[in-house]
Amino acid sequence: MLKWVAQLAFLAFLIAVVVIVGRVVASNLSNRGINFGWQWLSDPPGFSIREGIDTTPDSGARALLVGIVNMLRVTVAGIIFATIIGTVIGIARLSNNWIVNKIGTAYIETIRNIPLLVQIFFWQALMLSLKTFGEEDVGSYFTHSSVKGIALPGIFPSDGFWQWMVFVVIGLVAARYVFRWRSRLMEETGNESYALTSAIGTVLVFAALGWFLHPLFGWMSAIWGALEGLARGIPAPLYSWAIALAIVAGAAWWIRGFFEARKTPAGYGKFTDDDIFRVAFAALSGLVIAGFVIWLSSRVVQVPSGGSLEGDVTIAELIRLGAGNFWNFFENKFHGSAGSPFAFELPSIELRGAGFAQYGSESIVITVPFFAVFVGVTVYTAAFIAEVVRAGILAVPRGQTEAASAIGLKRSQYLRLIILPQAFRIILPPMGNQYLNLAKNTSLGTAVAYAEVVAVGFTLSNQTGQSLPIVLTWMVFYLTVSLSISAVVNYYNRKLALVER
Amino acid sequence: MSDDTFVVHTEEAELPPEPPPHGPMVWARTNLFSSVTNTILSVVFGGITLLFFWNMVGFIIGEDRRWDAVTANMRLLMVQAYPQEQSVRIWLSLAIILVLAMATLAVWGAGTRLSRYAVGTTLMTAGAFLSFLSLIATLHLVLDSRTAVWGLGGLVVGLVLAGVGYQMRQGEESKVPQIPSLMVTAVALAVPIAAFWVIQVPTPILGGGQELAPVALSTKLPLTILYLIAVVSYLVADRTIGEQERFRGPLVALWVLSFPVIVMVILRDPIIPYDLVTSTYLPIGAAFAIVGAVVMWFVADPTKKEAGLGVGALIFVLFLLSWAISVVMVVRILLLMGALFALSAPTFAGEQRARLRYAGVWFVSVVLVTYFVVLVVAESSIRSESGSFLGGLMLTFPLAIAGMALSFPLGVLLALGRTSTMPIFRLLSTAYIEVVRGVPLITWLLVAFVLLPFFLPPGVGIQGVVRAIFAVAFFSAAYLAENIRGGLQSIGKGQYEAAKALGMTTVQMTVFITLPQALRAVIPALVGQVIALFKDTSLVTIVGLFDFLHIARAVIPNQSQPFNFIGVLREPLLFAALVYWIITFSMSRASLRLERKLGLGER
Repeated sequence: MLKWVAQLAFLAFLIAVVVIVGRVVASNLSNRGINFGWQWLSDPPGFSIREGIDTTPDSGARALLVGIVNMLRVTVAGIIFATIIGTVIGIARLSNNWIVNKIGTAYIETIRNIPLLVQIFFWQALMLSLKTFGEEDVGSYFTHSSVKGIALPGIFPSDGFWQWMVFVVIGLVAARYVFRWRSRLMEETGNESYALTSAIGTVLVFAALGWFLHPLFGWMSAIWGALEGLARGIPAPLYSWAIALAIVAGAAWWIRGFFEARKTPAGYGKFTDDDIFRVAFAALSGLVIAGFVIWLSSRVVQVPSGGSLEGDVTIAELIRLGAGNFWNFFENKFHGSAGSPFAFELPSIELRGAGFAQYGSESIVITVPFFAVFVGVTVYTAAFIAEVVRAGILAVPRGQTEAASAIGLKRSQYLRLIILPQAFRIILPPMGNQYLNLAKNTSLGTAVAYAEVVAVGFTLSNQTGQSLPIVLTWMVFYLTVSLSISAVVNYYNRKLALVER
Repeated sequence: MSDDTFVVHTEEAELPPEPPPHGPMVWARTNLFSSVTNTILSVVFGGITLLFFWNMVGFIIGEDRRWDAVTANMRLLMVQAYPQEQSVRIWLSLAIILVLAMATLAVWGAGTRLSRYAVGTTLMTAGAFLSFLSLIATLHLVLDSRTAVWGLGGLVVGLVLAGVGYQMRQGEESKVPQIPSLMVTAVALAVPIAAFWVIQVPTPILGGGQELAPVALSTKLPLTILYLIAVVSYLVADRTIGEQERFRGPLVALWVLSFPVIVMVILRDPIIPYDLVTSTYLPIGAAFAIVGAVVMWFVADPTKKEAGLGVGALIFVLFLLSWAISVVMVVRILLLMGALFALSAPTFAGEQRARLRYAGVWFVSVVLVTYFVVLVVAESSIRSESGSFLGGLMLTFPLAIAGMALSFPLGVLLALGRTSTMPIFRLLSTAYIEVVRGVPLITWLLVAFVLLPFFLPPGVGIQGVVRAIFAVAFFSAAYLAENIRGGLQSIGKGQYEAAKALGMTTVQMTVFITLPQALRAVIPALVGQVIALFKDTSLVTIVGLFDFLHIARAVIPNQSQPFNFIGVLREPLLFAALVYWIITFSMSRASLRLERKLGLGER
């Protein structure tokens, strides 16, 4: 009883504080003549962005999207490279070879103990100490590095790319069956059946076939067109109701799982206050969020003219537009003459205007800010991943190695079949944490003017004065990224977890 | 275990140990060339390492390096614009910290003993590494036809060190630990101190260029004196209060007090408004101290269990009401403190002595809080260009320490909330922890600097440094909470049951039984969090505070007067990296030793 009084009293105190602070904020805002709202999302942002999918965005939302894509770019690239480097260094730390071992140790002890921001600044300074180029350097190169960045030969998806992707997807599905078949064969006969190698081989075979045969899939354009028509034909409110229904169903699914877990042959047992609170909270938040979605999607926003929708439209209609555009994208990609899936371009230096040399627009240029952030977070996170990998391998009991060699497995076999699968199970959760840290650390790009979501948001907030909504946008975005990464990690973790009896 | 196995075990142990293979050739064969693969690896990576060090040393001693940008700006990097004529205040602060640190080492008996073999190995490795680097430097200098005297000097010193280390490793009984580790540390630290009197550093010349000049007397003399103070105070402390447990409590109290005293009194040099003190603060403080002490003595009576809660609630209501009227801030602070003291009185209730002690703690706390409020209200006589008397490395450290001190209680509360059986507290704590951890620190710093003005009543402003401290503490608390939760969950169920069986309340059980064990179990994780927080303080450069990194990266490369350092970016950044590295690396080493000493992770 006293416990509930204390909790409710604290809650009341908290609500009172929020109300008081809210009133202070409101009076501060009215004193300064600021109105917080969301109009800045559709207004032109009034600045251009140095790099990204759109350097001159026409709305605040578009500018934020450019920032988000930039952030995801550096995050994905960072995760891939940090995993590779970290794993190599982690294994180097376990090597018998003195030099290799010491290089691994020195790397980890140096990188871990220097703040990431210092390292990012250092990589930036390193790039800025390179030479610049001018008119006399105009020409084509294989690679070129200068104070303006590093230009690399580029591979671009070309006309036939999406048709070719159909082959790759079919190959992936086929590979799944091949993998299962080979694994079953190994379990039945006990002979090595190279399951993974054959699966990868299957994908490669399909990809190679698709290279020549991909124009076959031009007819799929009609299917995407039909789907687009369907998406545009459904009444807009149906979209919001479908999303709301999915949220309610999710809450119901959670509650069902809760009761399932409590079920014993003898019944459900006694429910504590805590259990009731959980169920009630899940049901309530499901309904509230669903209601919020329906309310939000019926809101009217102003859309700048020029698109297929103009003037006052509801958010539900925008969602419908997005769904239609999604299928329309594929419809267009499958149209027309399908050339080769990829195009290759060498970097070049071109003259733009009098005496102003610049990398050609077809070159892939790693800009100085991208380089600084990418190398910074990759090198930094790799040091932590190396420790995770090393600890994971060391945590596999020695008996496993001994037992494996006792039944006659070779070193390469027992590493692949016995040690690594078990180490992977231990490594996965801390590895997920490192990925989360990497994603959050990309926000330090702000310091070197890398146009990621914090930097773009900060500029937007300076331009429009809408700091509170922009901070809320940041939080929603980062929480979404964090939750997505931990959802993926948790999914694999559950899949890999030991089944204990 | 049966007797047989035990006997077999001892017999095995008494066999004479096989002489270990030694000699450089044997070592190289087992560690570098044991198989074909290993030989290839050694050659390839040995080559890469050689190339790396060749380029690195070449970069460091390159002719156009501007290390003079670092030496000329050393004072800026360390203390920013703190007035030079007041710098004795900084040395005094350092001396206080050193004396406290040495007393702590002595009282806790922190030193261990190292074997001659181990010391010899370290010395040999260090000497070999030094001569390796010096050799490369000498080659570079000779190839550039410059004088190689410093490179050759390093080579000789390195070879001598390696030789001494090799000698120390010889002998049968050399593996028995007998050398005090603190003595080794002291000797190791004497080397850089002595080097300050010998070496010459690049110094800029007015009108362009640089020359090698001795280290300034204003740097090397105070450092030498500080070193001597440290050595002497350790020796004295070891003789007088060494390894006596009763000095531990007072030392911790001195540490807690030293931080506000150093920052607010010594570094800030407040101009205390005496008329305001006698008219306002003294009467208020005295009234609270005396009346409160009586109240605390009254409520700390175990038979009046509900009295503390009632009185606490009453004072809390008074605290809330005090915001409706205009009154000096110190009254509100003291009322809140009184409410907390009264509410926790049943936890610490006991016999006559316990009650008196509780009242005494209240009295001392009121005096200290009032004193520090006066210090905060008083104006500082130290003026600096950036508006804050803290800057450079002298800002980085207070940021980290204050951030940690604030985040620790919050983290403990959040961890308790998250493991609590009370669903609303658990939900709120979980929400706080997940939301704060899910969003990067830079966002919270920007919130503190951009958004905070909207949340404060008109007329109330908070200084930039304080904002940064709040943001860092707010962020770090969520991480700390997760670490402490791990500790709380590792405690056996028997501890809870035993505490309940003794008739303890939930609060008493938490404060006296579970929390201390949980905190002890997660000390390594807590030190890890301190290190992370220290590194994170570098982020305040993004919001424009003049911390160490900001001066290295933004101030020095923009200097044109009196020396031209425009665009000199890599040298100060590398120096900053080195300083950060030395600090965090020594912290992590200290934490490893602490872990071993506490025997954590061995159960």
